[in-house]
Amino acid sequence: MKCPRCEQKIHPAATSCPHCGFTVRHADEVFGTEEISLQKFSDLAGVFRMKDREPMRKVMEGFEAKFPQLFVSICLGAFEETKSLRQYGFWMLNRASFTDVDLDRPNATGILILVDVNGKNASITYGYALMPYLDEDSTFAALSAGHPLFLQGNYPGALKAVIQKLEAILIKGWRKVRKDPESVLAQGGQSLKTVGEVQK
Amino acid sequence: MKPAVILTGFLAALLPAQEDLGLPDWEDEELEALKSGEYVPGSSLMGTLAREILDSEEQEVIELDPMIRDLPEEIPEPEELSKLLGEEFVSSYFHQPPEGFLNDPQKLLTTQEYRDREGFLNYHARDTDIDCYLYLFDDPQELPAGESLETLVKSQFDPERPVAIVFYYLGDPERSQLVFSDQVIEAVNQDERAKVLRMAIEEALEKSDPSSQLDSFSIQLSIRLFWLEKVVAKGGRSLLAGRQFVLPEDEPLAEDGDGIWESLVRNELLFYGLMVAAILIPAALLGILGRWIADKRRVYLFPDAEGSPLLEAPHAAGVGGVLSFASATAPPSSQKKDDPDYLQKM
Repeated sequence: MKCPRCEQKIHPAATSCPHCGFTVRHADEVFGTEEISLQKFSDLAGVFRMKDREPMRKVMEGFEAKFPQLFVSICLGAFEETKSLRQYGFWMLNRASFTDVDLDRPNATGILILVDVNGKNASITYGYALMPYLDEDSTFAALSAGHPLFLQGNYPGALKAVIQKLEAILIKGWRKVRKDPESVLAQGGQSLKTVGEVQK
Repeated sequence: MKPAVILTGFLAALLPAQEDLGLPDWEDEELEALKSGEYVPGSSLMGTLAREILDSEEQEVIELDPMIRDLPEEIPEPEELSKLLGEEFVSSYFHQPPEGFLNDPQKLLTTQEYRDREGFLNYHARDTDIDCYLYLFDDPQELPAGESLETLVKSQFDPERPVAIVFYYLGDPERSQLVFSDQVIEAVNQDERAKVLRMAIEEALEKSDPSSQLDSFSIQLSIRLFWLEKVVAKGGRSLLAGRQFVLPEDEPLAEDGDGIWESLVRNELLFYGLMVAAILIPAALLGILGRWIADKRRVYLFPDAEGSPLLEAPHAAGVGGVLSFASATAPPSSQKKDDPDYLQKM
């Protein structure tokens, strides 16, 4: 686990970064304290054509069908003034309210993909429920899967590739947690509450 | 030098003579007579009597003597062609070894036709074990008494050699006769041998003129002989090896139209191998397809977990990777943005 601001490792139970003192309140000071409403697919930059939106939505719904406890959200915008996309993602997933996501899927089960169209950056932020299965390297690998398409400006294709890669990573994590749930969860700073029924 | 001088002198003497050669000129009197009609060109050829009759005003009708006129017209009776082979050819046909694969002592074929057919039979002999000897007869001809194809084979051919001898009647292929040497008779049953001749005749009858019939007959004969040889060889035998092999009655001669299916049925190992593959491959493909569909419809549920919040964040503290895609030349790994910004005042 790393601090969104200083990139230093922090303890899974740290209430603030021991290196820079960062907490969510610091992010609120920058990005605002009011909660924002957002749809799980938001093209603020307007780079998606109408005909590309529906296929993208189906990809996201496919993800949710495969992982009924999770959801994925995409936000494309021009975040030039945002100095740190990492912190912005951290703040958004904690403060945003996704209007079209089921109530049984809180933000802690969400994956937020931010794409800065002008700054040519993309980031992934994920909730607590995903911490045992995702990390910086695996999310970077997922983003890299869409890199050639990002370069071409093919955002629908790039995001589809990123989500498919995330699915593969999560399936791998699911297999691991089936075998040894406690140790896998402990890696993410979590402990087993109740083991859900795993369908085969 | 002397012959040259003599030749030059001779040519010099001829040159003036050449100048005298040319068309005769009309004499003035003859030309006038011709123009006035007194002179009829060619009249001297008609004779004096005809000239007089032509010039006379009385045109007498010349009548034949009744004795001569009433004589019945003699219609020459067509000479009946002899059906018997001329005696002068009997020896060439029956009492001498064949000079080649094509025997035509009566010269029934033109030179070119003979060469073509002989060339073909030579070619056949080079390619197959069963040599084919063709004796040509004319359509109506009958063999002399006491002579036959069988006697010819026995007297003039080596029974140890695989040979097919044919008497072919130009223009009447259906009269053709075929006899094999003992070597072939022992190796191939009667039905198959008869089939060779029958199919050659059928092929010949497709054509109308005798020469084309002979062409088709010999070509088909060659093909059938080739197949006979293949059938014998399939049993691991050779006609030249001097071993006997009788074609099984239940195994027909391979036809031209034998398909892949017949070949497969004969080769049991290949047949059953293909049958197993035909079952296993679709089954494997179906299995893969089923697995793929099952994976697509699979649902993944994670165990419920709990943990303390980090950095006072209510939902998420999982900060993942940041990728820059500003440069098309740099690889993604070099565009990973992990610059700490803790010194930066936000």
